[in-house]
Amino acid sequence: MARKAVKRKKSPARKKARAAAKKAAKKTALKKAPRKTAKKVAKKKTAKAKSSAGPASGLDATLKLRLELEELYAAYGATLDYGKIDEWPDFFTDDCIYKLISRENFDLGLPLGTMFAEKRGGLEDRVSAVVKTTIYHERAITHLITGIRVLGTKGGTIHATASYVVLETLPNQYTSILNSGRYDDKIVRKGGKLLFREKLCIFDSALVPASIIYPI
Amino acid sequence: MASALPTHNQIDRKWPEGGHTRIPYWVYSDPKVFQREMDIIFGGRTYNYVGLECEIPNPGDFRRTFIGDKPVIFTRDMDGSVRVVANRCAHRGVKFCYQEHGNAKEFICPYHQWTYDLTGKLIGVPFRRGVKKQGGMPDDFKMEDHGLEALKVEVRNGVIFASFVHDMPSLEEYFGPLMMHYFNRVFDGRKLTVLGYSRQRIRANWKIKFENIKDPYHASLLHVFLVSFGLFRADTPSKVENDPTGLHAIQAATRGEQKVTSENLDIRNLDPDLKLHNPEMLQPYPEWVNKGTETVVMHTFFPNLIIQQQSNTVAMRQIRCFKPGEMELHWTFFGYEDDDEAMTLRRLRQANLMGPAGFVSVDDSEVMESAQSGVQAYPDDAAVVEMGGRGTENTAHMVTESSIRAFYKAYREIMGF
Repeated sequence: MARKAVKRKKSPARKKARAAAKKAAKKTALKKAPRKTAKKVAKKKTAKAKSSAGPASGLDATLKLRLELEELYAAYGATLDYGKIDEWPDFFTDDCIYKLISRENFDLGLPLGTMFAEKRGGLEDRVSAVVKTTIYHERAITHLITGIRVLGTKGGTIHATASYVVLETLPNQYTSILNSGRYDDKIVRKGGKLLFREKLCIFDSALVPASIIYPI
Repeated sequence: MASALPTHNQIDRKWPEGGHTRIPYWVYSDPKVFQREMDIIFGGRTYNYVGLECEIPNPGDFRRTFIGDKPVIFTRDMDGSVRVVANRCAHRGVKFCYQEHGNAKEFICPYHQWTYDLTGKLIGVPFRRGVKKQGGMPDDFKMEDHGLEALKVEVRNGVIFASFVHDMPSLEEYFGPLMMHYFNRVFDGRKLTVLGYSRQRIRANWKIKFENIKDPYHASLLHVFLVSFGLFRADTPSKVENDPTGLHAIQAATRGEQKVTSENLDIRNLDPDLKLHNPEMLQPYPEWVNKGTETVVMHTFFPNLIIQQQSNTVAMRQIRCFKPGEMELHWTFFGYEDDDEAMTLRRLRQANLMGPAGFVSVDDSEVMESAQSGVQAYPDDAAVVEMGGRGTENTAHMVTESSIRAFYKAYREIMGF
């Protein structure tokens, strides 16, 4: 009861406060209204711009390509990491070139690759070496691909780059870094799908562990 | 360096009964054995492969490398001569050269800026006369006594060898006529072109690699790729030749057909149906046909060089080693200056057989690491090396371990076991 009494005592002040709050709310409401209108206008403008292929649509296209590339690289890594190596050639065009090359050779302009596969057939030969012919210890690998950037687009070919780290886990050993470096890729669109026409994996460390079994 | 064994390096090990048909496993893991090898083999009376002349075409060009565990630099001096010096400052032992390769007028150690010319002669010592008449080197300090250690250098047809010992026989005498014959087959005087480097670290003793190329027995069985495509197989015309010292050897073969016959039934890894989806990878050009019937010759030049000639892929494989259970293989793939574009492409394609991702070499790297895991855990056990008998003779087939026996016979003498 005592508390009620106190409240009652304060009630005139509360009324004032309430009134002030209402005023403020009205003001806000008045301010908000034109803002909403502005947003709608902006949206309409965007729609107009889209139809006339203005600069805003460029941003959309860039974002779309960016998402497609993110998906491409993520799917590429996952395919190698999760034992689906037979699907690896599906990421390439039939006339592709794949080369794993040390930065040492690349920077000296020396052509030797640690892996060098030409055409889809060359990739399939690499796959059958891994699956059928080579003797090696089982291992797990994990691709971490980041910093995807488009360097340019020319006649439908996208020149893209990304950094990568491939981790390797051998039986009875801790995980270690197998290979790190950058991709330098030429990508084309075929049947709505992005495919590598040329993939260069340029790795940092000239000295590598005993074996690189899976493609990078 | 080579003469007397250091007394601190007494090795309390006894070679097992059976002589060179047994290899005690402690040779692959004992740190004292390894240290003795660095002292009296790599640092002693041997010629070690250093590099190719075409890697240092101009005066002042230099490149770093290693002889065993010892850092050295090979360079072309201002007169155009090839020099090899220890990459170790004469002052405090700093491995002074920080660049893998480059061009320089002089070498300057970053620590106290002692400066050497390209022949290794000491030409500058900062504060030699002191500062404000204080400090400085003693008056009797002689610059000429403190150059870089210069190695004995021999250059043959574009290939550079060096020795820490100066009173060595000539390269021809050291390797002998058999090895020089095969050396000249690959290095016939044509200028060489480097196609690229490949470098891998394998957790296995250096001798396991060296023996691997003296062991045609495994090649016929382990490598699906080699045997299926007839690139190196026991039932094709083949031979093993050891030079009289036993240290160096070749194994050679002529490419055979991809089919199963009564002679190769034992080779379970021969897959008659293995097909290349892109056969361009392996379409050799008969470039050796004027030099004999062999299509593959694998050479071991003791102690640190393997020369690989398989079809059209040719490479130097240099062995570097820093501890008993680990070695590095540094490959220099090359071609010849008169190669046309098609030949270069052929060499680059066939390089897929070799190196850390090689269709053939991966098998070796993986097995060698397993070998090291086995032998280092059981140092007192020994390998049995009796395929093809107990001798060290040359054979007109590859069903033998005679090169390995010849090697260990010589190794025991050098090492005093």
